[in-house]
Amino acid sequence: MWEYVRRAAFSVVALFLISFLVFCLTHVVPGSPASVVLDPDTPEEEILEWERDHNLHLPVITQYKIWLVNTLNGDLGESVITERDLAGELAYSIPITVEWVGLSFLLAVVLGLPLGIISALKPGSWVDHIARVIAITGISVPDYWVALMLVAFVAVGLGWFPAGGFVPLSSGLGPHLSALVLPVLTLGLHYMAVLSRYTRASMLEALSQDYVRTARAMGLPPWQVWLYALKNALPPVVNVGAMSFGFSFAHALFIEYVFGIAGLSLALLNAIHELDYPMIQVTVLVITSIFILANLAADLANLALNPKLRQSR
Amino acid sequence: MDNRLLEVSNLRVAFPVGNAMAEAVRGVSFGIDTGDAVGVLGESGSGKSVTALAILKLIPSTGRITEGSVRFAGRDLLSMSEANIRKLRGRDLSMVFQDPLTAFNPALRIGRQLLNVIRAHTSSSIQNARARALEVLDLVGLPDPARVMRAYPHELSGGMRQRALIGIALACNPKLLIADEPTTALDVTIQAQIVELFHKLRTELGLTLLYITHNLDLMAELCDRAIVMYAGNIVEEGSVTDLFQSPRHPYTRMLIDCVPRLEDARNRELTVIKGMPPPINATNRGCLFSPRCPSVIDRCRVDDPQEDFEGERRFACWNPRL
Amino acid sequence: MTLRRDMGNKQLLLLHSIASSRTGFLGLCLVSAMALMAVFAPWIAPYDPTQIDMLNRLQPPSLSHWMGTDLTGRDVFSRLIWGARPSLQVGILAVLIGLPGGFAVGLLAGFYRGTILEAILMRIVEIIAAVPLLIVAIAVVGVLGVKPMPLGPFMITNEVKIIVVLGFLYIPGLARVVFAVAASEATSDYIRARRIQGVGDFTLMVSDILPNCLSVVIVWGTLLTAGGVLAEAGLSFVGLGVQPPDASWGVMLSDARKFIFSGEWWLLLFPGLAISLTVIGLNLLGDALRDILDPRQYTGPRLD
Repeated sequence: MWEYVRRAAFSVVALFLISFLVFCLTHVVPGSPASVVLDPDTPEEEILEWERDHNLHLPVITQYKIWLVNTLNGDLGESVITERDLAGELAYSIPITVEWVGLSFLLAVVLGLPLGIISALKPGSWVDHIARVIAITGISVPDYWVALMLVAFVAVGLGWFPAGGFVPLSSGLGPHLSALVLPVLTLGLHYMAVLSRYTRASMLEALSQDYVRTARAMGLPPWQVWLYALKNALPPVVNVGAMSFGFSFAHALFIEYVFGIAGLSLALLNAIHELDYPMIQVTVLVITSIFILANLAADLANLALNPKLRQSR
Repeated sequence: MDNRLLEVSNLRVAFPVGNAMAEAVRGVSFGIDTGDAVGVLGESGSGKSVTALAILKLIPSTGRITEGSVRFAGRDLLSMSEANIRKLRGRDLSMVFQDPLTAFNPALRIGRQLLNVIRAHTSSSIQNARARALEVLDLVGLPDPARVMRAYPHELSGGMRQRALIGIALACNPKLLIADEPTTALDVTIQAQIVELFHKLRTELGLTLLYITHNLDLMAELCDRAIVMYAGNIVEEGSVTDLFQSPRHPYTRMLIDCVPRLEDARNRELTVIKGMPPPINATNRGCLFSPRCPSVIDRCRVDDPQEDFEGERRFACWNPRL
Repeated sequence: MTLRRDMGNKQLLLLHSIASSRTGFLGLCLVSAMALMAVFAPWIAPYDPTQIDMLNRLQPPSLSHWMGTDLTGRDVFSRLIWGARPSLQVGILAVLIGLPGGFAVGLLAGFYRGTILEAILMRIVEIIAAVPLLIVAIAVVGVLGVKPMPLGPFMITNEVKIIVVLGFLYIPGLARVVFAVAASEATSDYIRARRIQGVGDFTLMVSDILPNCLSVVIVWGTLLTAGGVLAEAGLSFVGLGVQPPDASWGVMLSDARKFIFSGEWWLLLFPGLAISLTVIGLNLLGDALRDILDPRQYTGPRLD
């Protein structure tokens, strides 16, 4: 129990530190945002005034405190570049990313877990070999390349699915889902590979334990013996799954870039290209939060699955 | 009336070592009658555990039973299908392992694991199964069976866990219980309690027991008869009294001498068997014990020892103590 | 308890073991091929990778241009060969940068397990590890800008920035792996024996425990290198890595993106294949090394 609280506490600390780090970076970099936003011909006084308006003359720590207070109060401010409401932009893009990444993970779990389990139950068989080849390939091949290849051959070549990944739900469920197929496939296959590898390894480890031998010695039917192993094999896999969910936002960035999906990760990339510092700040924070939440969720799930952890260390 | 419960004939079990197969069990034959308590004595590597696993057909998948037969209650186990032998395991023929902590599934409560076994072999209802479970836990001397049922393996002490493990093994009234070093992982005081428990089970239930150990004294307390194994062979077999009073095989004699006793003279040197047991893939000619044997003669290094019989005893030595 | 063995012997044994595993051998071949390609690029590449030839732009593979030409007529094959450099450099150097930090933190924390030092160090590691690696790397590199940054007397190129950021972010992973080994070794009997002999803490850490950590570090490092190659290519792909006209596999893919609708498939296929084969090779090698050196490694740093 305390373990859980402790992890949560550190996650929060991490969040603050990251936000501070990114804040420092964006405000310590030479060249003020003013030069990006305003005309090059703007007179000196106007520039200074603009900077004053945006608190840029204050020490970094103070600026950070102001930002922190604002953020905690729900006021995310406006983008320096686009002057749109940051919160609004986030509200728009977050669900998009969560939806398609979520679907990818669903695919990954549905395909990857059974593959890993079967692979472990019949090591050395042809299923196992194929599974391992798929796994190694899946984790090694860059997803942006897979995305591009899918677009080139499936979307353009075969014309089955659109090359653009985003069609709003309002245009109909069919076109919406159809546009999602390729991106979900790209990310999903990658994580299917990751999950199947870990599941296989974890199952193999569990199957080699003494209690499996005891279970067989007690005459339990094979399916029950496998369940015994599975119950112990799942926690590491859950862990990996959650960590992957967090990391997936990096992969999502590339895929959203290729397919033009206006999601959270693409928003970060655009913000970087436009040097929209507040947006960068906020997006990194959101992504990190999701990552941290995913890890916490994994810890919770592990506590439920593995009763040993409930004892304090 | 045939009282023979278990008959093992010329059992050979091999494992791959490097590129070749090496025999861990090299032609072992013995029998157990109903109601017997037979001990198997030997060092690590003598093949005693592998023999037990082979009887249940539970050797690791890399190993192979290359020869021999195992008959249990008249049925040939080695030629049985996996499905059929599964019906025997845990029901008619049970095994208790050395380390009670790793023998249990850490993620399930004891009760659930116990119930799973009972319901796998009988068609009891849940209530009957629970009743039987509580009964069995009481039988093995656990003071609060209901609490043990609800507990996870890591929540129990070592002694309680071993009792619970024995309980699971007994849940379906097996005809034969094989115990593979059941006390090795436990403290000395707990060891004594477990041996006590086995005693009680023998007297109250008439349990037939095959007790594998490297500890002579424990074995002597429980068993009437003993088999001594070395490097995959049986080197001597006889009643426990005979073995202790007049061991024929030099190895048996040295095992007995090795254990210091209170009655010995204070300045008596500790007896030590010099050297190490041979590796599993040893292929020397002659008796495998000869490199370490104090009464070795030339013939030992050349010919494999033949078995000599003496009433209920047998031993395999060219130069036995008589 | 692991005893130190003669280092020379061990390396030969290692190579032999890798070679006898089919997948390990394949991995070793792939990685060696790519490494050789990178090292000998100036001598192997038939053309200058930045040489523009507008007359011959967008040619499919032919005898004179084995992998065709790109949008400004540069030879794809040559660019591919030169492109191995940034990817492998980033992959390997990032791990090397992270190693000292990883070792220091891991050894100290493991050796002084149960003390405040360990608590502080491991909490810091946890915090850095709580960060989604690539996202932060992208953010930091993006914010710092892609142009070379002056720092004192040095000009820090983009590549260096990436290497440093990745290296720093690798420290927690390496530290955890080292910590696991160090913590278990530190309480072992032979360390106790050495301490009784009067050997000092620092010497114990460096000469006794460190060599035992090498196996896990090699395995983990190989896998991190694979990640680094992917990271570099990815960053270049979105414009935050190697800048044109320099060649990098990621940049080549970025160029290829403009042409997926018009069918110049060779621009897309070869760079991607190059990245894939390199990373597959590194992963196979890492797996083979893990099987040989440390079979229990898979559960990773998350579990005790």
